[in-house]
Amino acid sequence: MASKETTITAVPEHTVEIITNSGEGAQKCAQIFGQTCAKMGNGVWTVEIIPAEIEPPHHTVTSTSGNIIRFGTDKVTNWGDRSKLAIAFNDQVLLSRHRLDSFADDCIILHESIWENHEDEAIRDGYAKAMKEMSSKNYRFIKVPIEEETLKVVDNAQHGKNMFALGLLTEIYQRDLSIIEKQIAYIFRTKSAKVTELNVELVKNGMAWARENLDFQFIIDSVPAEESRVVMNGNQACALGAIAAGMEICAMYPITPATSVSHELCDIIESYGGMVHQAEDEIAAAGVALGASYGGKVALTVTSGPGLALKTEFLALAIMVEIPLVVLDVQRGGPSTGLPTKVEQSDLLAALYGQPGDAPRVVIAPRTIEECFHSMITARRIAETFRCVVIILTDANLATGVQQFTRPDFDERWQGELIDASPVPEGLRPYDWDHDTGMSRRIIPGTPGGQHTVTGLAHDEESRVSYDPGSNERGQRMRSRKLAVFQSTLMPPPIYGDEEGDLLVVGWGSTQGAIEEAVDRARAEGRKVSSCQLTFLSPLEPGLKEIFSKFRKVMTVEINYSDNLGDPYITEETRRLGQLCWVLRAHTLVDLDCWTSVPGQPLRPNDIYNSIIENIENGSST
Amino acid sequence: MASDERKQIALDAISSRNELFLSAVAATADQVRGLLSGTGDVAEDQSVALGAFAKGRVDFNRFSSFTPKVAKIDAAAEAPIRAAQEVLKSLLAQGDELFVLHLEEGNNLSRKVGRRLSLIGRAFSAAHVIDLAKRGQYQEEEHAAMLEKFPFHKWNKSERALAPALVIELSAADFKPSVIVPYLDEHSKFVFKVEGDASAAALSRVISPGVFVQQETGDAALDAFAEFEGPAVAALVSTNAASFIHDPSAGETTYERFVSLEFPKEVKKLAIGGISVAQQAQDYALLESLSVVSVPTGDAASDPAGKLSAWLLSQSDLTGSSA
Amino acid sequence: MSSVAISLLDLDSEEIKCFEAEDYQTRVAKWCAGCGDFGALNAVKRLLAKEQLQPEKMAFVSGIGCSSRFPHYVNAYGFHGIHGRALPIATGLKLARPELDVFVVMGDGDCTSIGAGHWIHATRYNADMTVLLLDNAIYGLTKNQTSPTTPQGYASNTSPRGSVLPALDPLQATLGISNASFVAQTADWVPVHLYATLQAAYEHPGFSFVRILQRCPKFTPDVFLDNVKNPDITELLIHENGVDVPSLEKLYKHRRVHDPKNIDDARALAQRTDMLRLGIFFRDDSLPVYEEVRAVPPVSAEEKIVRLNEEFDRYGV
Repeated sequence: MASKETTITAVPEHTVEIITNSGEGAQKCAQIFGQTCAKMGNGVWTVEIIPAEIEPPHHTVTSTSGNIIRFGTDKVTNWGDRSKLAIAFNDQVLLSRHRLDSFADDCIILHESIWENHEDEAIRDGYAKAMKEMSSKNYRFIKVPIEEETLKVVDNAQHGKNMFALGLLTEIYQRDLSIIEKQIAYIFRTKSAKVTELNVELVKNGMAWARENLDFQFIIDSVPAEESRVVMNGNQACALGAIAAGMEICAMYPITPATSVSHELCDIIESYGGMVHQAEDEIAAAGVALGASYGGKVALTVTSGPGLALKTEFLALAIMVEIPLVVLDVQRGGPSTGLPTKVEQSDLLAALYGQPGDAPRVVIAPRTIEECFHSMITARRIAETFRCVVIILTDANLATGVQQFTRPDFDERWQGELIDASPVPEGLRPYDWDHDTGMSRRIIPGTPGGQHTVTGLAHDEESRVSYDPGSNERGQRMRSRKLAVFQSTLMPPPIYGDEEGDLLVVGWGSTQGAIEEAVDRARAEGRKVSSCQLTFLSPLEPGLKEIFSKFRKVMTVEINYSDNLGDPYITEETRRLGQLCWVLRAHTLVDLDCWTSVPGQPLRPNDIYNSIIENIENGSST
Repeated sequence: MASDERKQIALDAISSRNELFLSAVAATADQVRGLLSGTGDVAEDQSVALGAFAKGRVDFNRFSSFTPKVAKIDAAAEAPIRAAQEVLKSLLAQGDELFVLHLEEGNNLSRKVGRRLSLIGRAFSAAHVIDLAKRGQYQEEEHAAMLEKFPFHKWNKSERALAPALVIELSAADFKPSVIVPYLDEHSKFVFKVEGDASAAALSRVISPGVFVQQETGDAALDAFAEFEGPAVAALVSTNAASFIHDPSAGETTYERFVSLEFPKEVKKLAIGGISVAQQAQDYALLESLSVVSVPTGDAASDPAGKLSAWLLSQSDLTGSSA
Repeated sequence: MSSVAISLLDLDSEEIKCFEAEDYQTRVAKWCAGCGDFGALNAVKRLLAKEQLQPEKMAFVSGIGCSSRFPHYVNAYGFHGIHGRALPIATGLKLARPELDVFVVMGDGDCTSIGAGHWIHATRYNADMTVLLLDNAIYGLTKNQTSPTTPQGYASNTSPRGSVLPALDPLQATLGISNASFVAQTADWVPVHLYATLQAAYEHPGFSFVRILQRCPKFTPDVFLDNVKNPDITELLIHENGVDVPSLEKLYKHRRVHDPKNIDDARALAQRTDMLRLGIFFRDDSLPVYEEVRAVPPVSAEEKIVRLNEEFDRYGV
């Protein structure tokens, strides 16, 4: 491509992948690119591609590490469909993404040129086989001497190829170099000025190479935002939300993909007067959080599915003794160890019903990264108001996805009020339940005149162990009543689209962006489809039955397992459903259908769209 | 040792007491914030407090009917409570510096300590003002002055229990520790950081049965001082002075309570500022009378009191001379 | 951490009441007649009265088992939690409220079996709390099952032909844990020793682990019978920094001066099976205490907002 005409195409959005061996710096490249897009006013969503191992063997299909960046003129709410452009540092990592069907059929693939004629025969063979396997698609392959060009600037290509790749992207998408330079300077601020210089030079080389050798560019318009915005991933948002909510003790045990919440907290919480306690196990983490909350601190424990399973007994205790506790569950694939780094929404039933005995608690699910931040404040407030356990369900999609949102306007009131520690009046009992609401004053140790022993055994108003039928019934009723009272403060969820039609898609949590995009597509074709994204899962938002009744069919879309009708042995009677689907059927007695999938990655709008069309065309009516 | 390091030792020694004090002030400030936020519209407060996540999902008016009611403050009470809040905030903003008193040469130690405690005491008077205002008993003419100063003698028992400790930086010429005796309450702690050659046994003046007294010439942390539950005075002095620890919990008699005792090799017989040689000699005599029970024999060298006596004998011409 | 620090608005200047030992008991304890738990309760009440502790300024945390009913009988705040997990709750409480006196009461199944993981780590955290292991060598509440401390050969409902394994020695185990700071053993049938040991444990700044040998009249009435009847097979560890009760001199002729600072001697003594040893095996008041190591200065709500805004500048676009 020595001489060429450059075709400039304007597109509303694009999805780009950077695919490397782990340790080749794809994250830095993507981080700078994503930040730059955000600063230029594009909507952005980035997703990490994480290998399961820390240092898998290089140049294999299991070593794939990288990032997907979707950016567009408008707000971007999910990772979108297949990628339109990819930069790959070798054929094997590229092949692994091809096998996951990650690329659009017309995807442009810029890939390293040194492998084709490599001196090692095995590498040459592998390359040839990979290219053959991928030839079934209409990808446009462009060989790029990534390593060769990088070595013109630095001695070790391992630490430089990523910046060359960033240069390619900068040129292809006409990004603002001055912003990129600032980002590079920030990322390498702790290193010498020379490091920044070399990295900028690499970017410029990448741009120059693209200018000389590529015959295409894309233009994605952007409108710089008026209000101040921030960009971060969901785990960072949860951590900062916890601090903004005045949380003081986070007790945790390392577990993917929740751990980075505590990394963030460990870095900063002490300068807010709080602490992270890394406990000996998941159980103790819940116990320490509970003990701290018993003492009057605002406590949080952070975990993922397997950890939630271990914490169940302590959560039941917290519910039984009515001590507020916030639990953040960053869901991953299950059951058992499952898919530690991957996305799933399969902890819902465990979060709702995980404990033996009746253990009513509040469960909420943020839908966006912005809501990850704000949900911490709401969770604390609910937990303290109702002396209850609040479980926040996020997932790996929110945890590692990066998106920008309006910078929060911090308010002191988020940090709650001091607990009433004034002397307990004569006659006030530790569980002086208001018999209508189940609510009672929280008395913490140190409060004069309030001495009592809380117990996980059935107890009466004075917190005395009490096995008599009346006390047990009363205690259970009072703990349950609080949920009904809280539910009475909730409002029916908004409907996305018309309030009646042929199909209502009901989702929860992180799938909102993908579902609404799919709904938009179907509506553009004249389909009468709407959606509703639930955020309060226990207690459920009110009015659902009424809402559902306006649609011919209702189905949930979830990232968890359900049987496919028509599979061997799977009938209406044997079919096991998506988790929210179970709950809503029981709650509304409406015959909901579900479409679920467990690919270990976020749902794609197009797949949801297909399920919508299929459901409208084939399904029976509710 | 560098002055900064010694200041750090001094600050470390008082940090736990002062954190207790500061956290009480911070807790009070938070509580006041709650009180004042309750003066606004409850539903509006609730809509903010519940967070943006609840917006459009939770009916704030209903929700607020289930939250504990913050006592409404009437308009008249708001101004004094805000004034008290400002006092609490200003104390918090000072942080550790609140507890460090730097005495300019020639200034009156007693008066300065009194003033500083009086400033610190405003945390307590702020609480009194808030309480009075809440109960509708606040009188501008009568009570406003409390927020300006609140001297130590007005602190009640539980306030004294929260009294912070002070670090006093001064020059050897001004080091007359006995003036702080009136402030030595059950919970008081003072650390003197003395610049220049001090009177070798200056701190002996504050020794009394219940008071922990430590004169330190080295760079050891003042752990025992910090942990002692009761009045305590320490001084970080130059190496020309004696070092000793008088720990009331170590024994029944004064003698037994001297858990360590070391003397300088020689002492310059010079007046230090206004502190005459004779006066310095009296400090020694006092130390001797407190720490010696009998004429040492035998193992005298390893016995603190014996060491003291032996040393006093070697310095015996001290008492007679003049500057 | 400001949400529960003492507020100046809550100070009261009333004179402090004087408490008698009986003021610390709330109700009649429902243990079996002859249960060793009574001795522990009495010793604790005596200690509280000696120290004149304010009932609202202390908390008793327990797990599940006969002994874990303890908090219900003490005039204090109490947390009767779940089996084996008193220590995490107590650790959390102490982190939240370092100014409270925290006592933990566990049984042998509670601490050394289902809660063994927490026992190791809580010992290492070395939070300042007084920890009572009420060891009757059996599961009592669930009616006679073998516990880790049941002597080898001793029959129970789960080992009808006798326990097949050697008993676990909680002292040896605790003494093997890094940062263990106080390890003692006493027995319900020597009340003065029990009291003196608890007193020392209370005074120790850090995790004071006291194993209290106690008789279960129902299921292990004879496990300690020889020791109860014959003082000559018990050795008291005495030291000025340990426990030394002069009134026991006549009864117990075997007395060994053991400096509790010496960890090697402590471990060697815990290892020996020739005699029962009561006293403080190990004590080091200088080891780091978790809630002190982790303490950070409080930050006001306003200041937090200032800092959050600075933090968010990092994420600004």
